[in-house]
Amino acid sequence: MDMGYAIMKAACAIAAGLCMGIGAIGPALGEGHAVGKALEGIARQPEATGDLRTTMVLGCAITETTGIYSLLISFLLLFAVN
Amino acid sequence: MSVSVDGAFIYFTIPLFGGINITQTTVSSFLVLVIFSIACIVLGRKLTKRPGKAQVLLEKGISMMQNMVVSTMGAHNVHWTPFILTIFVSSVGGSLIGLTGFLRSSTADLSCTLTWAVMVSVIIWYNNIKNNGFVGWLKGFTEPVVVMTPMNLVSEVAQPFSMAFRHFGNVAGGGVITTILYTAFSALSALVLNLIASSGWAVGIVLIVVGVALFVLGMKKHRMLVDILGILSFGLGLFGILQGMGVLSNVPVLALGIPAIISVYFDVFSGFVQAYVFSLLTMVYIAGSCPEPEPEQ
Repeated sequence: MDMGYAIMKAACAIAAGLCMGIGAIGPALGEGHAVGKALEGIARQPEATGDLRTTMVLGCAITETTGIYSLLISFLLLFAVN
Repeated sequence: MSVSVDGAFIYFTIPLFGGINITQTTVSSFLVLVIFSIACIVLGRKLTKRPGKAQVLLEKGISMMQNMVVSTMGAHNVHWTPFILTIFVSSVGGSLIGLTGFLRSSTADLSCTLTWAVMVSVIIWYNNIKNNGFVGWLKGFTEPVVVMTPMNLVSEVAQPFSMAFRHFGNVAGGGVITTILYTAFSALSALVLNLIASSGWAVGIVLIVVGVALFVLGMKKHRMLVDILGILSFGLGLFGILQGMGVLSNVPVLALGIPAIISVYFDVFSGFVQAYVFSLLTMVYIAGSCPEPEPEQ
């Protein structure tokens, strides 16, 4: 195998790992915070559980977006760079 | 073992307007369209005063969507329900059609979700211009202060991209993760089967006996997990012996149960949540461009 190609592949793999690892920190913190707050709300006001759960899932899905972007970038690095 | 991830491939090209490509995405999304159109025609034909089972379900679903539209967009925007419901249904159908195995999810292609997002953006611009006038629409970019204009322009362009990439990334990423898991479990089961086949008959027979025992135990105590373990152990023993005799080789036994659970999360749950998020964002954005009309004096 060509040496330059091998180095490029290795760099892509490392970059994909870094991208996903660092990119997952933000959404993880954000979603944890959101779920914690929602649980506090449920504990204080159990009758609002249904509303809170729907809004929480929605908020989590929107928060996840940044993580999804980094997932896409790492997939591009892994599979689309040749 | 290598994993390859491809986009939607092109079935054939129509030689019109410089060539229209018919891809897997086109086929899947048109199939979803046809299925839901036929369902709507069949269900909507026999509407009666005293509803049957199908009509009750249909009315329940439509009124749920109507309530959601009213609570998010206000009662004056209730005429948007069919559009929102269409987006929701085609998104769910487009995501779930990938579960058939031979069709590709139409939402796992950026061109499909980007089309929807751009469509929503055009509708928002049209409504803004209709309600505020062209000058009023342009003036909206300079709020709250004139310095914010570049920021507002960027966010106006970024909005459809963000919507499209969110939906596409979730479905496509889930698909890639499921593929990687299936490949990994197939490799693992090939390894284990080789080990069993090379170590002789006894191990395979012991595995089969243990598997049957676990299965019977799980059936008696109604434990699903023990059942699954029993089936896996039985399969490993059986296919190990078969491989030792040279009949079959490398049957992916371990890829049977575990990836399916992951697939349920990534394909089914994520498909529904993303459809919900997409239609909710559509509702919020359209409601922002259609404010409540002033009450007439």
